[in-house]
Parts: sequence; C-alpha cells; structure tokens
Amino acid sequence: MDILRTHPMVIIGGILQENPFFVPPEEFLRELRSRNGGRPV
Amino acid sequence: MEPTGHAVRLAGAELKTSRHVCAFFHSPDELYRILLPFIKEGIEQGEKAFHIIDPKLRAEHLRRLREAGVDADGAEASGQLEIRAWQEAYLRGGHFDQDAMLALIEEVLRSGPQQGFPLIRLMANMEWALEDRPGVDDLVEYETRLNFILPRYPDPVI
Repeated sequence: MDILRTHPMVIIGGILQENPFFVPPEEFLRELRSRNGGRPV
Repeated sequence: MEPTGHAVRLAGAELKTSRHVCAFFHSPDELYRILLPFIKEGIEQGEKAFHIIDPKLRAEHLRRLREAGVDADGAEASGQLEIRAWQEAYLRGGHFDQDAMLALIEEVLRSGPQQGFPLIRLMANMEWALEDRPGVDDLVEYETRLNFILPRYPDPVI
C-alpha cells in the first residue's frame, strides 16, 4: 500500500510507532518515475 | 526542524522529530479516542488546530470536540481552530491538484507563527481519496513530496 510508505510515522491499532515501511521521498519519486516508464512524475 | 519546546503527545507516546503521521482507524469512535487528547493538548497549549474534514461531518466533529471539553466555538471564533471542508482544501475546483495542495499546506504552516501560534496541529481526514475523483492518482506523489516540506516545520501533520 503506497500511502503507508509515504509516512515516517504510523498509528495502527491505536499505537504510534515509527513506520518500518517508510521510503524517503527522493527514493520514492525515483520509484514512481521508473514505474512511469522513465518520464518525470 | 527540531521541535520547539512544545511537547506533542499522540496515541500515548511523544511525537518526536518525525511528525508526518499516517493514522488508520476502524471507526469514528476509535479516531476520536486517539485524536481528541492530541487536539485538546494543543488547544490548551495555545497552539493552532487546523482540521480538514468531510463537510458532512462538520457538526459531528464540533460535537465531539465540545464533549471532550474543548471550547470549539470560542476557538473557531478566535481563529485558534480552523476547520476546512475537503472542497476548501484537497478538492478545490472539484479535483485534487497536488501542487496547489502542497502550496496550501506550506502556506498554512507558515501562517502559524504569523498569527502568533507557536505550533499548528494539522489533522486531515483523507477518506475522499477512496472515492473515484479526478487527480486522486496523484495522492501518493503528493504525500511523498510532503516529506520534503514537513521536516522544515515543527508542526505535526496527521
């Protein structure tokens, strides 16, 4: 679930925790761009 | 940016330097059980509350705040509490424009100190994204781009 990967912190089950699935924005934008066939997103 | 002296407690823990939070709730009751103490703490510390909500739930939102002991009407009148409907934020013009929304978030965060508030607690309900609206595919890109902006501000964004 991509949205979860864009937040450094998460509340699930009423507990606040660091999000182990977080991806820094530079890396995530690169990933989105590669999915998009190399075009800028 | 390092947080200011204002501690931010959320879901029973202290929110440290990373303050962009994704929150999942099973029900409105669970949402308010977790978020009302966070909202109330900010109001009591003289901070600004900026809420983006489903316009259909505005009356219910105010009722929940009042029941928690927040002077929602007074805070709204003074500008300490600002409630925007989705159409006044994410869905201006009837569609989601990520550049416009990033600009709005930055404008809101900049406005806090200008209005004399030491911190803004921004809370946004995102259920509109579950509906099939124009531009909704850009939401992930918007959320990741927020991570370039938010670290420059001490304000929590949920």
